[in-house]
Amino acid sequence: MPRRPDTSPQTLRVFAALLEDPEGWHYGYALSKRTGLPSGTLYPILMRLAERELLTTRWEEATTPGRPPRHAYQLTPDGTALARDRVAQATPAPASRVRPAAHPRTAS
Amino acid sequence: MSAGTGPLDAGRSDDPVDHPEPAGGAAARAARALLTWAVRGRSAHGTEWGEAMLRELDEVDGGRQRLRWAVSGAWTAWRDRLRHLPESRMIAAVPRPLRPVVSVLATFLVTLGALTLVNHVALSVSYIPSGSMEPTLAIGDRVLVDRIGFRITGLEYGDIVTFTRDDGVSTDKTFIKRVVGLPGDVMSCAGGHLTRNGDPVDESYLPAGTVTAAGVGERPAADCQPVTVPDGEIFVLGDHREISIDSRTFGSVREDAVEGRVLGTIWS
Repeated sequence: MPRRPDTSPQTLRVFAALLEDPEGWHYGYALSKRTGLPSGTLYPILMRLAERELLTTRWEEATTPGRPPRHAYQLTPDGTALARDRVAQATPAPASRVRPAAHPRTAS
Repeated sequence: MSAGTGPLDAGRSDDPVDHPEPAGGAAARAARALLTWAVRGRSAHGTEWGEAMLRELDEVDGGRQRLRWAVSGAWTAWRDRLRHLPESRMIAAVPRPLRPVVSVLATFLVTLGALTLVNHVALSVSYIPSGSMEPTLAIGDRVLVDRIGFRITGLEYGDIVTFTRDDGVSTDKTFIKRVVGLPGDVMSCAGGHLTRNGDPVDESYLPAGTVTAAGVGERPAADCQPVTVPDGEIFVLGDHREISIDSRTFGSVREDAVEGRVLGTIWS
């Protein structure tokens, strides 16, 4: 079966985390904690998404004075649409078709 | 957000802190050192994504977690840095049709450099200029010389070695001879046959009927009197006994003058 792009479990977890606040700006470490992905897995995904303009990046001035700016990420409209599509396609498929009795994956 | 875990949040903050450098112990320091190296190398700044990972390290709580963050991210950061390295700008500066040429040239130069290094340190090819090792090695042969191995395994009887000594013309003329005596051996060639510690030496590498005599011409007849090889020296003879100028003439040779051991002929 040809694999559809952006459907790896890791990418889906990133999508899910971003969709928790689709309009909001997210930080790398917070995403890593929420998805459970190590930096070496998370960042390549973010880099790919940003390269395809599914994700906007910006340097955000820190609220604490003296701290350097942080890198923050926000889904673009295209990104939000794709993320919703991929997450929606993925969630029912493994649970209902492949392993009906499997424990449903909880996203939080 | 992390509440009160970092030293910055814990205490008073009347002093403006320019860098959020937490003490954090050895793990945290190792994490920072590793990731900083991966992100920046020797430059002052890394790529956007590398710097992002490095900045985010400040937010990670706990030394072990920081180490995990750094170890996992280092490879990603390093690859991202390589992608943006000046080399890519250099390649971009070369007109597209010339790129294969430049690439081949660069490969050639790097290979040449590597081979030159190996040639000086490990293996080299020597040209045989004289007939003193005939018939084993003929004039014009090229032999492969191992410059390291013999230092590990030591020399043995029958090894062909290259060494340098002062021959009166040049202070480090290179010779190529066969090792027949090691430190402590008593060498003699009375009766036309080489003996070591009183026993005839099996020299199957010589043509049948070879006579090992004291030598010819101006060499003193005393050459073939029994001599004891001193510590740290070796006794060497050329296979072409009639013409070879070797330990029979100039005595034993210091082991540390040996440069390499001949592995074999690569071209004759």
